[in-house]
Amino acid sequence: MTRLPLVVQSDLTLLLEVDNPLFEEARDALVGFAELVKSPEHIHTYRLSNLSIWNAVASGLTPDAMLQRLKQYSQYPVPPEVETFIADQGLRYGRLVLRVAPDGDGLWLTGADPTLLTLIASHKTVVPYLGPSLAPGFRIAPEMRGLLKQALTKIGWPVADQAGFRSGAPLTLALRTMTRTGHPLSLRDYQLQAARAFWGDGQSMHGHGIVVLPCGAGKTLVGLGVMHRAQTHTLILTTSLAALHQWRDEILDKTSLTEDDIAEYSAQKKEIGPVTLTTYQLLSHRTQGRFVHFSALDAHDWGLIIYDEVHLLPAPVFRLTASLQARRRLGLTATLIREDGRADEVFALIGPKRFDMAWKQLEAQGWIASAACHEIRVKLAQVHRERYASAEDSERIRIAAENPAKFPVVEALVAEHATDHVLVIGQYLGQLEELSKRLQAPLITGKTPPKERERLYAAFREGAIRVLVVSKVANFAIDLPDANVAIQVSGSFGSRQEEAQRLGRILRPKSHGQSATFYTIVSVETREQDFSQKRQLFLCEQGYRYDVAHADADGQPLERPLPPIIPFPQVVPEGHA
Amino acid sequence: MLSIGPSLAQVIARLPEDEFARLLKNLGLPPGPADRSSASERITDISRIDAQLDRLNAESRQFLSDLLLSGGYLSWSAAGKRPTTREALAELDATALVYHVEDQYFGHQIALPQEFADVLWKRLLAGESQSLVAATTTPRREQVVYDASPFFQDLYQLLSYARQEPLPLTLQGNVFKRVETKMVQKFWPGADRGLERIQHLEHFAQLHSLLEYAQDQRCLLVAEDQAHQFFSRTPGERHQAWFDYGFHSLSSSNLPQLLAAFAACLAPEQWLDMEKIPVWLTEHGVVPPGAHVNLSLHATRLQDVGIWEGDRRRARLTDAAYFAANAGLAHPVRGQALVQPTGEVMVPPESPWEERWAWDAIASLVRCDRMTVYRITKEGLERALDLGRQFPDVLRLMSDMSKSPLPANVRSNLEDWHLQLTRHRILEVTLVHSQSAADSNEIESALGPSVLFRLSSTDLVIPPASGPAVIRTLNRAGIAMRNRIERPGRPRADAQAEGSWFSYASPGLRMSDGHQIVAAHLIATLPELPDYQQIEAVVTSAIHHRRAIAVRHWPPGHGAVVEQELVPYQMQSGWLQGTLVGTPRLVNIFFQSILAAKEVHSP
Repeated sequence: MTRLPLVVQSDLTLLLEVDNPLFEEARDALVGFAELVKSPEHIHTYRLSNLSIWNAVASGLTPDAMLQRLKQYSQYPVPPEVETFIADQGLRYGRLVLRVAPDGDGLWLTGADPTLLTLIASHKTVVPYLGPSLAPGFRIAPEMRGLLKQALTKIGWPVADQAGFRSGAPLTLALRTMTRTGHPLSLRDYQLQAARAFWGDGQSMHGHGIVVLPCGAGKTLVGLGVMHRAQTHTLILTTSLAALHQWRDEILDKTSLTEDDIAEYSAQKKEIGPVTLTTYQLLSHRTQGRFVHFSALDAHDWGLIIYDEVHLLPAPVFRLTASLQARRRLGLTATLIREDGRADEVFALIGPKRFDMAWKQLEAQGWIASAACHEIRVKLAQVHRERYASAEDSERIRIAAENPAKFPVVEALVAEHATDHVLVIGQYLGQLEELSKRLQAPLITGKTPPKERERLYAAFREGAIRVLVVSKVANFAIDLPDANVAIQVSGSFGSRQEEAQRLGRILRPKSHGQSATFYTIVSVETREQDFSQKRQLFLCEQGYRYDVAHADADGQPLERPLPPIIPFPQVVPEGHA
Repeated sequence: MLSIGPSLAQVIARLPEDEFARLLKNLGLPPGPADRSSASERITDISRIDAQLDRLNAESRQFLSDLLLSGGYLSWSAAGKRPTTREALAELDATALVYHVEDQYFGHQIALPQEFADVLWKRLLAGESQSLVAATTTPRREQVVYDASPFFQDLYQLLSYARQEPLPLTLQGNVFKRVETKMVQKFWPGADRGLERIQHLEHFAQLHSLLEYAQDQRCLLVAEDQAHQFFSRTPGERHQAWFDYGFHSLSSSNLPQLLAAFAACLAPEQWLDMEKIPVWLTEHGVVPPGAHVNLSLHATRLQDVGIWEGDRRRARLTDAAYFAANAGLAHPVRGQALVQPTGEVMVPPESPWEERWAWDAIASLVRCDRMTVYRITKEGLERALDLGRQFPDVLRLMSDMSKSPLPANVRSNLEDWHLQLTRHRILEVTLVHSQSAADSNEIESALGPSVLFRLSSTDLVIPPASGPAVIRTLNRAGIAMRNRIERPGRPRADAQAEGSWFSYASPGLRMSDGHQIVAAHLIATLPELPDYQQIEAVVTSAIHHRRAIAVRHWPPGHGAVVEQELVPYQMQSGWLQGTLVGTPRLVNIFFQSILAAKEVHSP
């Protein structure tokens, strides 16, 4: 009998074997109700969660159908715990519904089960958001919509939000077939699928949620695709001014909108237009305890809000987002890893994950560049080793990260890639300044004025600059299409998301189909090496492999024979003495 | 599956030479001193047993059924009460299916060796199961059962846990409840009867010497060799150990295995009707009429060890137990693990336990589930080194147990960790410490080549295990010293004492059923069966009238019937006491060894 590709674990994990003829079929069957957790070489891991089940039910998949799919592809019987979980969670979604109140005055939380309504009415985390009784159910003030949904999600009774969205002020927008820069344009299949998954039939069941795609896969185009469907005034939240300008350039390049249609709401300009671009930082800025910019922007009739790099959504924006529930909301990200563990709030306030695609799958289709990852483990010189041994914990991390032995290694790598476009990325300014000097390459940090940054990025894109040294300001949302080598000299602790974002800087497909090369340089036998293991986990889970090489304290390559074993004394047979 | 009666090997080994020669003749085998194993093979040959059963008359078949229902043993007194025992035994003598055994020195039993139990049950009693079937059916969840039954998964988790954290013991010798609670939370969060389950596992592990007691730390450690041997056993042997535990350790009653035996004969989807069982047991004389049969107590215990499922009304063997009982387990397949670049190791259920135990020694267990998941970590490598594995062996083992080559980054990590772990090492050696350099020099010359090297002017290093020999050598050389080796700190399992309570499960995996067979005989040598009612009447009358009686009895270890005349004066605690006729000598005769008694009339 043919081996089936799926193994269902009792902890709700689904293991899908890649080397199986039914792999793709099974993967497609799982997509609707299980979240892809990781996709390394042999076995991909999916997870069932209450959110994934609720999402699936919301999209019309029944618990029985989910179970049937599991049984169809599972090599071993589905554990009873999993069956129970699906049945239980599947029944929860839709028992509570949020609609426009029958008399048109606000919203109405209702459901057919009076016991459930009584139950939630006695839950102290929900009570503050309930209005007066409106049988069967409660009247809800529109401003409480997001907070109520968040509270109900937390206690395990997600509400089906059928109250609809504000359609927003209309905006005529078409996608160009030929970009302004003269390249043919059409959305790729997966971008169309992502936009379709988000938009659905345009009804209230859809129109809010998150699209997860690797760096370089064209998330901005998904955003444009959604804007094209929405045809409404749109607010776009980005992580930085540089990213804001990239969005502006993309919109101008690929849509029918003109500069008059696009406004920038930043520290420099305070314009509001049919499409307005702003930053998270500005939105969450407070003056005398008030979110003044938010208030100004909230007053406009937006029909769609796009959250770029939604995994970075700061806590204040979470709170503000709760009051934006009447608008369609699209989150875009490469990694849904939130180091602060607030993924459930993303679900409640932005919406469920609507689309996800494995990095290696896109690489296989040629939509992102293939990448080779290398880790170079460098020794600490004796003098630094002694400092490291006697230093406090926080200081030790820095000593390891700023190991001077990394400099000759970086120089050798840059020389090795003499014809490539190289980004040298690091965390510590002193180290980056020294590298900038040694490599005679410009440096971009948080202190670099925005205009200078953009000038340097542009020069790098045009090839005038071959090597660019950058701090963490370049971790996100910077489009450097021709960068094909990244050398990471230091990073922030064990952040998997940062490692992925940094690799993402070089994943945009290259014009000649070249592959990308990612180096990470760590000090061997230090905390940095431990952090490095953790940082690499996400990419390994996405199917990337790191080759490991070693260098000595002078930065010279090191062949390491296995260490000699200290022999234990041989045991003398009893009676020998 | 059935675990009743003595083992055939026990019986055959204890047959006197003349009776064994007769047995060989009965079996049509040539006589010879080395033929005991071939005799066992011949006796357990299924086709031979089938043929023998076909020829037996109804009384003999009924006798065998009664023997099965009574747990493989029938005492003389019980046998004597059956009206047709004598006829049945006469026919069974040539079959080599039943034997007369001396049990625990004083007892006499007619016994059915356990090797015949399953086949006889299927032939004689399987049909009875159908009269006990519940009206409803439920398909089995598992269609193919691998050698990964939940009981062994749980046992494996317990041993894996104890490998990393020895189990500390209270003064009463029990594992601390907080540790047990922690394990329950880890293994089965939220499950019912978790503590009972963990205690059964601890008990099982100790019975099979998988956990050893370390006196200096008052804790239980994993006995690595025993555990390796246990996981290297065949699935059949291991499952039999599981059944034995379920049948014998939880109850002294024979009922659990009768329930299991009936359930094993059902079709996979069928259930036993638990309300019909007490009636059947009474009708067939397994329990006396009117006796209360607490089936739910037995069922709960079997449930705790994963053999039984269901409720008060219907119940059956779990999937794992059912397929194990019916030899339906899938064969294990080696080398199926997958090592991912993330360092995760995925081991499917068809992998043999031996391999999983080996993975546990070199990687960290993440989850024991359908797919057992490990992670290759520095701690795992350290454990492998602690267990005495060499690094190249670890790499080779990983490759041998995997379907695909070890990813390069994983290999690099292992090499780096190995470098870190072995560059500096703390060695534990045995030191001979002396008060002065002169004393140390004296000892060095006395020990000669036993000294590995000198550590300091007062310390000599000798091989770790040579302490006792060194003490003896020094004593012979006239250098007095304390007769013990001082070991500060480290947990260490104590050597098992020969015949200690730990070892009664050895050398095989089968657990004792409470009987200890000291001698065995062919049925033909069985004397008349006693009528204890009549014997008691004769003895009581003789005591009352102070008359002599002649007693035929089988003295313990004697191997034959003895007849003695005595004047009895009392019966106490199962013993008849009196004086031998014509002598002042006192005699004690175990009442259960008496075959007949009659008054001696004066001439």
